[in-house]
Amino acid sequence: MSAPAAPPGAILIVDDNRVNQLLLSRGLEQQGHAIVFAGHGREALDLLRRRHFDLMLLDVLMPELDGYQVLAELKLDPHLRDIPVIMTSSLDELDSVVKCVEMGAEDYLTKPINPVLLNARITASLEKKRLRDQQRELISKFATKEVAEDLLTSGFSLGGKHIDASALFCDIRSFTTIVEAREPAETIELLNDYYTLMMDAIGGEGGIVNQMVGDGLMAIFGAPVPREDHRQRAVLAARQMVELIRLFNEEQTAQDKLQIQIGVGIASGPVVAGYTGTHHRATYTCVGDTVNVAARLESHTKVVGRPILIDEHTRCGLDDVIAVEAHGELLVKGKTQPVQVYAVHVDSLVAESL
Amino acid sequence: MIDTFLSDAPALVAALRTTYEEGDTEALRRTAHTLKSNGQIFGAGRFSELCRDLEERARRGTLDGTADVIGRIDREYAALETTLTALGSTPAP
Repeated sequence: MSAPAAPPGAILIVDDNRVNQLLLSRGLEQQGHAIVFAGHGREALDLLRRRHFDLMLLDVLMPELDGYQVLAELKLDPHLRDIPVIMTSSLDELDSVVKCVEMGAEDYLTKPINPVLLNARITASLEKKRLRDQQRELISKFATKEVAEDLLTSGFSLGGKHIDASALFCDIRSFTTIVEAREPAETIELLNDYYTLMMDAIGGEGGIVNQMVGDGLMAIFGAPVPREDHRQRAVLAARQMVELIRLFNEEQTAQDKLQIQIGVGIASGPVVAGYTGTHHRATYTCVGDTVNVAARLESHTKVVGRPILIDEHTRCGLDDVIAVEAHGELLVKGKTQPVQVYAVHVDSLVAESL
Repeated sequence: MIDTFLSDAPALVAALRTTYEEGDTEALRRTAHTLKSNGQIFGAGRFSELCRDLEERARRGTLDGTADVIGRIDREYAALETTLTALGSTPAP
């Protein structure tokens, strides 16, 4: 019985033996697959890094780099590790094949290759890859790219870990009043524009938006992927957010539409990050004192009339380009010591962009 | 495929002797491995078996009697070459 044909894919055949290359490629080309050959492991890795492949047939014993070394390098590279690999080897190399499967090879075939088995394995592997790609696409629709990558590489498990990160809160001033005075469609359109701009600024600096409630959003910098400069990045994002809203307001004015103002609070320090919820419905988030302080600073922007407020920890992570000024202290519920508040200058930003 | 084999194999068979004489067991093992694999594709049982034996000797590094095995592979290859050449020159039905 022959296997149903797989949708054509780009297949890399890695074998130092030209006769084997021909034997493997003959049937596959007839199935419509695009075939490329590599004579040894080093050449294979070079090709994999230069162009797209859906699958690789990999020999074990080769000059330059052998099958193990190729597989090991492949699995270390986040861009290549998901390419399915089918090992091809002699019957007397079965021990090596077991080792390759343990290292992450998808399947194996023994030489001389049986063309029916070859087609069946390739069809199955390409189908699995297609499902994985689909799953990845779906996850990325409902989660940020970073969370999607984290889910796909580390798997999903409830529970968290301690990390050093920056939390950012933002909302629209007097939003309730705005909602009451407008048509629902106009409110939703305004929110969509607002979220698009905010996510653009946050994503551009490597942050992730993990909560959206009404007009309020929470973003995290430095998780799930740790980054040293999360404090600087968070403040840069906040400045861009304020600047984008200023430009948005200019457009709104030109169209005789409503203007909005935002307030942003940022705090940095230890947080507990992870997936919270249940096994059926969960979200990636950060909790802890740092997050509470960021939320309080955001509320405090209304009191002091400055668009961006940050805490002392965040200020310590900024370079000289970002100007800040001390803006007194803030008592936060549950904290014995008041929080030192700093306002980030945004005027220079407007001047630069003019 | 036959043409490819016939064009590559003489150099590979010759390499068995040179790598043996140079004591390069890794290259000897790899060359014997390739010829073994090709022999299996064309159903050349004795040739493949000799190459497998040689590959195993090279892997273990025990080269006693290896010259004799290489001599037998030479003769088997000559016979195989004649057979495959005849096959290759026979027009397809």
